Amino acid sequence: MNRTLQIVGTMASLLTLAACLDPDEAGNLVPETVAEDPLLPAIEVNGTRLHSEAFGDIHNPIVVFLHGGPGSDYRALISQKGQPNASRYPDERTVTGVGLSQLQDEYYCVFYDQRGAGLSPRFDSNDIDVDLYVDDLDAVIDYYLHRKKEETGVLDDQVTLFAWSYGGVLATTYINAHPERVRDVAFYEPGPIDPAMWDYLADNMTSVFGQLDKDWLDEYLLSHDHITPDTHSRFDYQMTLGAGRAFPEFHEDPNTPFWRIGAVVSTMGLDYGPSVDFDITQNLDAFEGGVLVMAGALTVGELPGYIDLLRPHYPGFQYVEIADVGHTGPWEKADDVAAEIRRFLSR
Amino acid sequence: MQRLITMTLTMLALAGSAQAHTVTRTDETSNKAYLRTGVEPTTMLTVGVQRSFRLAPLDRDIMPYIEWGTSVVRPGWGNSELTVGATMVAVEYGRLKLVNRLFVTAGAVETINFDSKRFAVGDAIAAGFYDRIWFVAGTVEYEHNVINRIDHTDHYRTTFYEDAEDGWYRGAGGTVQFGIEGGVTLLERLDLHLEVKMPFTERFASYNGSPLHANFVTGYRF
Repeated sequence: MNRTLQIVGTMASLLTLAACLDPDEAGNLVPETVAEDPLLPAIEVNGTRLHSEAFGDIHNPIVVFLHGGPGSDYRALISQKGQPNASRYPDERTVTGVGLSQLQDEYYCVFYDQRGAGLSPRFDSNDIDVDLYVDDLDAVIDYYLHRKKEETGVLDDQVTLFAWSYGGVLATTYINAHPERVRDVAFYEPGPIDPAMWDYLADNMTSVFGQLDKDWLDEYLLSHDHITPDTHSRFDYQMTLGAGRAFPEFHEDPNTPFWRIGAVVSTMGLDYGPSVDFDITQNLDAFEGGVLVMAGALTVGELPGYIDLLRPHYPGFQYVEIADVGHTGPWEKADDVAAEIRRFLSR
Repeated sequence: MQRLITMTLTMLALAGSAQAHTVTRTDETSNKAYLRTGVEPTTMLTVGVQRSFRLAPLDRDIMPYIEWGTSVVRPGWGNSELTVGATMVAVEYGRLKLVNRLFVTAGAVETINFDSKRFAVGDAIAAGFYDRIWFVAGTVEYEHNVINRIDHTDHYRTTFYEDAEDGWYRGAGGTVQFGIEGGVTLLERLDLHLEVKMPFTERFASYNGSPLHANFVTGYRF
């Protein structure tokens, strides 16, 4: 009798565990990417699938939007505060043409999630580097220029870039490598592109260790007793706890939407890191396009000297401050940011 | 029934750290209440009690304990841990001892994105030099989450992933920690104890939380 009870008890325990959800299976805690979900819009470039969409008339000039992070995605760029956040499935969206995608009435707007970020596939850190990111962007530009030629017969060889936060680092790296490919670039609070900018941020921002009394950090740390970042899904899931809350000087709105934080790429130093000897600016002299730099007034209030550090690299850039907003201005004040981009590109 | 209790206690014991020192002087005091503060995994405040008694079948002292710890920043049941376990000297050569601690934990965390309740098992070994009024030891600790109940918030569904699955999850990870600890006993009854640990995931990958865990424990024997 005792043995029967033991067997039944063991089987019941095993069945209970077997019936439990798997935290490592994409789709449970975090969404599947284009590698698993065929319903997501994607393009095949540079040997991988990337989550990508384009809006507007392809006869118009192409603007490629580069999201931040590294590891964020373009959801906030096609959503805007006060409107429903964009579903990952285009057919399920209740509003369109919002966020910076409102520029589709004048431009062919291209959005993609960078490799390892958002709804683009997950990669291990040793499979991603900055050169690959530059090659990916080049391939995305090629893809859409080729599509334009195929659909319209127009042979165009340049695009305009919009670059937000880390996207500004990627844009600068790309322009430095391929200055002839970029017509103009519009930045919104670009990440640091040289050691002086890194140092400025390090000297003027609150470190994580200075935030032990903050809810977000308490949540993040305590969650490590519950979930450890051994797999992509768990790592991505845990990383969301800091989104929009970890940098008080940025005055980010924590409701800014994402599909997925690509935790691996967000922690692997694609933004070069302050201690790395890097130079992504030595060839910027060859860039002949226009440069717009936008920044939220709240961020500028906290970091007043930061934007000026761009001047040695982009002399003569136009500068616009967006009122009453911080680092998440492209989502919070999408109309204002879009209006400035229109004004800049129609100059 | 007695056999079951003996087996359970033996299993608990064959699994030591903060409680380890007390187990070396069980001939003088049987009980201890303690307060632990530190960062593990966040800033925590923990209260606990332990009582030692002789486990006749093993001819050893065993020291069951129970403790409850809560986040200092967001105190309360929703961000706390309840741990029950037992400590026992497994091997000893004079003042060199190998102390083992086995424990089970039920914990909760509330976040902007999800609420989680976890049930975990763990084992810790402390090997060191235990004098009557001081000790120093190296520690290895392993804890594995057996099952988690995860429920997502509206914020997470709106801001990140609308189709996130609520429910019971298996195996959401575990931690391995390597550390050192030491302590002294003052005025015969007051134990002061410091421990520093370096955490890794159970797959020995980067923990990505606090790079070090550190605790200061004040205990009173009675």
